[in-house]
Amino acid sequence: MNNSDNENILICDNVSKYYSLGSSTIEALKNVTLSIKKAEFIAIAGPSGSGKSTLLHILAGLDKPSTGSVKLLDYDIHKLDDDRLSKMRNKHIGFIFQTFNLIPVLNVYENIEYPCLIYSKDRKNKERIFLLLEEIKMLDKIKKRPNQLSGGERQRVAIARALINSPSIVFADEPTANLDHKTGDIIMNIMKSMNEKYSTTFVFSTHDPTIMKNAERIIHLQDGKLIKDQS
Amino acid sequence: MKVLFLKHAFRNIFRNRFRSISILLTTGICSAVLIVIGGFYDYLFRSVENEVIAEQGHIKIYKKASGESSGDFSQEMWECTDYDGLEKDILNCNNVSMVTPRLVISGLAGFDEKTAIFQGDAVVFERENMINAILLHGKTPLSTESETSGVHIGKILARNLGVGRGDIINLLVQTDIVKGISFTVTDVITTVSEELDRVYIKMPLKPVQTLLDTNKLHSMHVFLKENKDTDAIKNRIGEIIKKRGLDLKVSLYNESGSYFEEVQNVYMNNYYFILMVIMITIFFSIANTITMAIMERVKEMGTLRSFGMSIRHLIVLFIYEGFFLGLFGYAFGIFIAVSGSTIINSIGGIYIPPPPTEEKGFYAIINISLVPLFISFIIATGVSVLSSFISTLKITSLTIIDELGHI
Repeated sequence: MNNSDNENILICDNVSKYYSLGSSTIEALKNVTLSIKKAEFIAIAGPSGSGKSTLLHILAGLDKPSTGSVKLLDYDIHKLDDDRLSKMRNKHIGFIFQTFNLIPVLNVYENIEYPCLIYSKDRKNKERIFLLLEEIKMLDKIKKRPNQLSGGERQRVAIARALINSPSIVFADEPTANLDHKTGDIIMNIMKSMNEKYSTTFVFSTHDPTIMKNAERIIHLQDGKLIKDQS
Repeated sequence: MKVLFLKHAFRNIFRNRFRSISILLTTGICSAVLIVIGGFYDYLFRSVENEVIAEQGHIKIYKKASGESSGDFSQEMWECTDYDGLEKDILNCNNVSMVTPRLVISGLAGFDEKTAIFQGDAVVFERENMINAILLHGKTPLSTESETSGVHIGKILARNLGVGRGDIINLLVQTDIVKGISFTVTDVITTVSEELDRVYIKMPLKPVQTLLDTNKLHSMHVFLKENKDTDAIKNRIGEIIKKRGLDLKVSLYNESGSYFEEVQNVYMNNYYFILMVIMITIFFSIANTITMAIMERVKEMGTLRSFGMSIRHLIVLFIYEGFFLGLFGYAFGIFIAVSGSTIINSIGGIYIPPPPTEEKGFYAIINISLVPLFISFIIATGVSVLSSFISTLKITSLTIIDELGHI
């Protein structure tokens, strides 16, 4: 990696998140500060309820912090209005869900193509879609609808969808939790190879030690606090 | 972007087929009702329009009675020193086919021992007989049969007097003194209403003018070759009359306050009421469908927003969906309307019973015309889009996390 590659693409500064539950307040994240560099492959680890998903959602601009800020490519993403933040998510952020979340009425090709057509009318991404389909070994299933795919295949499509716009960073919320170990390994290998091939930053949450092993850096959370940042 | 959203919205309508079919049926039936009723009213308007034009011509020239504010019968007799010149000037106007004078007359009709009150028109039969030919073919026939000595009598009046074709009736008219004249009955006719059938006699103008010792008229009726440019011709006739120094009123058959306009208003008010009911029905049907679709797809909306769709995009997506439902419902409505009206028209139309003052009902057919088709399209798609838009406003209050966490 050169110097520019080592620059922080994401800075999370003193982020806290509170939820009101009746008269009591639950603190899901407590003063989390971290930075992420280009092409890192990071795991956010911690037991259930430690705040992994909340942190990922805030870093990806899907949720707003109660206090603190998140800067992605020098933009304080939570200060952007809905239109600009949506565009930011489209161009620079990818998100992979535990439950895949593919659009059921669209086939594999269309699901992958969807993000690149939201802000663009042309269909010049055909080549890239086929490249990604080849990478995830789904070329033979481009016409299939999500309900015709296995869990592993759906997650592979979700990865391709997250990568289609060549985002700066991809977040994955427990991407292997709904898959068996063998398929989970395949998914991690695909993510790793994409990280290496395209220098895309990956941040994924997990509580599975075998999955954690794939990461270059592991951020440990417990009760909403960052307790260890291990490279 | 639009193609993508259109494709997505289009496929979404097939997700819950039962619901989509029921909404298509609702919108389709509502659209069909608008088209069929519009077509039915169109036929009625044309029938009434033809009836009114046949009765009084496209343009009527008369003198408004002093002290009367409105109404077709608020007219008095008027005189022109040069009727032939006036007629000639009017006939020279573009699209004018014929001008015919009329004089309204009333009195007592008698046959044998029986007498009855009559009311009627003194007309130039040679010209009146051309009216149907003009209205049907837009031209004046070359020759017509002269009927200078005969009258046409309303059928109830004929029955009450006991006269038929060939009988001679006597008419008594009160002027300064009571005057009388005899005519041969050449035809027994049915007029527009039973009330008129009881009293009506149509008689030749010249003998009546001689009887009354006058050359005055009540009205002149202008018939056009084609029912177009009526305002321009009316204005032109107005100028001719003004130039001749006559104080006469020129009115179109369909202008404000006319019988035709009154009939049209009655039917249009009914149509607007039906329109309102249908708009409300479509609005709530689509609102219900889109609200259900939103509730079912909250998580999917969170996913779409996670990869870059804004709230505005989501609203557009659901509006497209509502538009498609409205559009397909409308298309289905056209199918129902065209099939239904073809069947109705092929069996001769819908029998409309006579109104209280009339004797005969009639068969109305359905004219599928552009205006009801357009109104139906606007209602089906416009209300669907509006309804979808209002239903989707609740999306704006949801955060992505609310949506993704929705089960």
